[in-house]
Amino acid sequence: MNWDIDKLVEDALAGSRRSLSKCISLVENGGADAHAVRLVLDKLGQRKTAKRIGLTGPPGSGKSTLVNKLAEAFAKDGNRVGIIAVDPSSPYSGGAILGDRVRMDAPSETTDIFFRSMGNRGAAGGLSDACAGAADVLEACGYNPILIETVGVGQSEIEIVRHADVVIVVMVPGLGDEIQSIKAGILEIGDVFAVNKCDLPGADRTAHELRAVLSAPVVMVSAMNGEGIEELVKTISLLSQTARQKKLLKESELKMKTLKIDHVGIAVNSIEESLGFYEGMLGIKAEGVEEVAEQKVKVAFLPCGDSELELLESTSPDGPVARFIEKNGEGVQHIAIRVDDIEAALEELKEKGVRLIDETPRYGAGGASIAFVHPKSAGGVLLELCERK
Amino acid sequence: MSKVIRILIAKPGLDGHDRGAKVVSRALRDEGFEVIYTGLRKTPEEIVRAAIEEDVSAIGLSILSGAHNHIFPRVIELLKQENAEDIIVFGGGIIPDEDIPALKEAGVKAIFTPGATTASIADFIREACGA
Ligand SMILES: Nc1nc2c(ncn2[C@@H]2O[C@H](COP(=O)(O)OP(=O)(O)O)[C@@H](O)[C@H]2O)c(=O)[nH]1
Ligand SMILES: [Mg+2]
Repeated sequence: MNWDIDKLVEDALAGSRRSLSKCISLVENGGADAHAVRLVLDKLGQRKTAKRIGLTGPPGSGKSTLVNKLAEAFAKDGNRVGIIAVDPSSPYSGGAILGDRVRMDAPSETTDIFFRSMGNRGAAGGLSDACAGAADVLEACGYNPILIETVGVGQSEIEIVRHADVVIVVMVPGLGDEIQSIKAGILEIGDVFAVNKCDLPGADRTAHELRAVLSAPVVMVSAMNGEGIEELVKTISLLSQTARQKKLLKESELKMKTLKIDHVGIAVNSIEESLGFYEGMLGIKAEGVEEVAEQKVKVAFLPCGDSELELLESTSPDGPVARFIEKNGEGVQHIAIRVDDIEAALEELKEKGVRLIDETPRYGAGGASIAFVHPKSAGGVLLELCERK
Repeated sequence: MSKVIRILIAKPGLDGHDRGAKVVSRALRDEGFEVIYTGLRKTPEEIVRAAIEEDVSAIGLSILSGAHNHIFPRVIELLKQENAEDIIVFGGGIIPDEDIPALKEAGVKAIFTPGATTASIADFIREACGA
């Protein structure tokens, strides 16, 4: 049946809502067909960059009403919004009543919002797969952000929102003294807390009490009359930016490894004169001088604990160090960070769009392999990466 | 594992009374269906849009307001426009006997009048969906 699935995915990507919907069903039902859809998406080189926003909270707190309002707000800003709303399945029959759609009141002709309900189907481990798969399909079809509503009970539901970029916990006024007793799990996973129904009395007090015990932002909203929605959207956008940066950071930890500050390069008019200060006043002894013809520079190494100072004296008026001094006067010219594998580090930085002066390593003083990162990408610092065998 | 059958239960029309639709939804859940319940006063456009996004095999319309002669054919027409006429349409509520032949002619697969058991509705859906 692979032929059918290729066609189905193709039609979905071309904008057929029916095909998109069928793809989600295949992914949700699992098994060989779900795998086939995944394969097609992988072949397309899908990048998971759409914002995934999870909403959780007690039944009746207004999650569905809020999802609907958020979707409208995001759509108004020109986004196409995907919604996945999960409700519990009956443990006896396996059936479910999926009623979150009741709160949908976007006009029927809008193509900017796609709403899909999902039963947790006993949550035999497959729920987060089904949900993540549905989100991937929506993303491939151009939906971003993707809002995911779940009842805040049960491990599998918590699992889903845990994988979201931003998790909104929806609360309601009147929880008052009960805040302490709310399941700790739900408080831990929240990146932002929305006190919904702020049109009702007691919202201030609930927000106040939440702020007392939480470091995450607390926003008062009314999904009914729209109050606070704009602020919540802003908070979500800010949070998802930091979430993305954290994700990038995590990926970089996986590959490139920085070891230590290898040396600090200092541009000087005359090594001999400067040694008067470093040797004479600080007692740091120079360990040999080397000329790097390619860079038109003479270098003296001054070991200082685990790192070194590197004094740089130009051997020609048109060398980079001479030009640096002409522009800035003597002083710190670059900082070098030692890495374990410079080729891998350069490749990774390039991939992430960091501006490099040297895209491949070259020879540096002291037998190192070095490359410079452009100050434009490094906060104004001329950054050297170096690897020593 | 056999595939779960998804159906949509909607309550079109202007009257604000959906007890019947809710009773049927619950009964069908207990028969093992995933029931997408859309709530009151949905237009045919909203119903068809929901049916497509939710990938249901059947749509059940509960109608008390007497608008059945308009709403059923409209839903079926919209399904055709979306190339989704394979989605089965059935109905329930207060529908006079003499209107039933014309509705079936228009493509409504079954009409359940008050007194029909939920088990008979479940059996009909399973059979019509080839399960
Ligand atoms: N007063 C008030 N009621 C609200 C608000 N948001 C939702 N509700 C009502 O709360 C009830 C539950 O809403 P729903 O969105 O279905 O909650 P969910 O179970 O968390 O998805 C409904 O009757 C809504 O109309 C709000 O901001 N203010
Ligand atoms: Mg809900």
